[in-house]
Amino acid sequence: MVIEISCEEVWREISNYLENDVSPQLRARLEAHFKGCAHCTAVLKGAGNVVQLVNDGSVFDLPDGFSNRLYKRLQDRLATGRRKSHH
Amino acid sequence: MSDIDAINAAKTQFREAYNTGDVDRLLSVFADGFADLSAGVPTFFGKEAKSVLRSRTVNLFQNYRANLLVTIMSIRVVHTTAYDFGWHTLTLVPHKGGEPITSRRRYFELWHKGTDAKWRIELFIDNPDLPPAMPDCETNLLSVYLQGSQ
Repeated sequence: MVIEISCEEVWREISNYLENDVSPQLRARLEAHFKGCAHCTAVLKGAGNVVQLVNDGSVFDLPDGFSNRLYKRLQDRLATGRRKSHH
Repeated sequence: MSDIDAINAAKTQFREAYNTGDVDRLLSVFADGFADLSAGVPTFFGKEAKSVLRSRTVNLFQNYRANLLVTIMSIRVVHTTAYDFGWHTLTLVPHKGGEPITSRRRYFELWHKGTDAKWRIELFIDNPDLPPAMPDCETNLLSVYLQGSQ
């Protein structure tokens, strides 16, 4: 028999669930809850998407030289800011 | 077992009682003299409430096979009192055949922990749920409130 679990408890366990770091009993409770709760299913999908984006390096492929250009622009901006604050 | 786990387990008894058509199991989750403020039926509280609930559910299970889905939004515990709220989605399949009837209600329950350390429902109230909507879609909100005052 699967014991109930509240939305608030589900939210606390969602990252552990996504990382497969929950007991079989808790997994069964969470999955039973997801079947009936559109709100928590949406939270689960959202959290899953974030984890997937972070883990999927190809999503963050940046153009060649992007990092160098960004670094230089930041440096220039900082230097300009410093000069202005000295005057 | 923590108080929250105990209330989760009591709600499981509540659900399983519906799904197995077990009236005594359902009544065991309610305190003697609880207040029943269920939607669509007259209010009962005190000694009558449990016998009325028994009569209602005996009648229900005689005519339908029930499938209850419980979604608890939150459980809050303060000493020997607690409350929880969420949704009950009840599907009734007529024994005589016919289309299943599904209703989704949002509920609030007030619990009390007895001297036997068991949590029981002291007050139950629910009303029909509505589909999710953005606040700016609720243009007829005033008319909905006024309907109840007639």
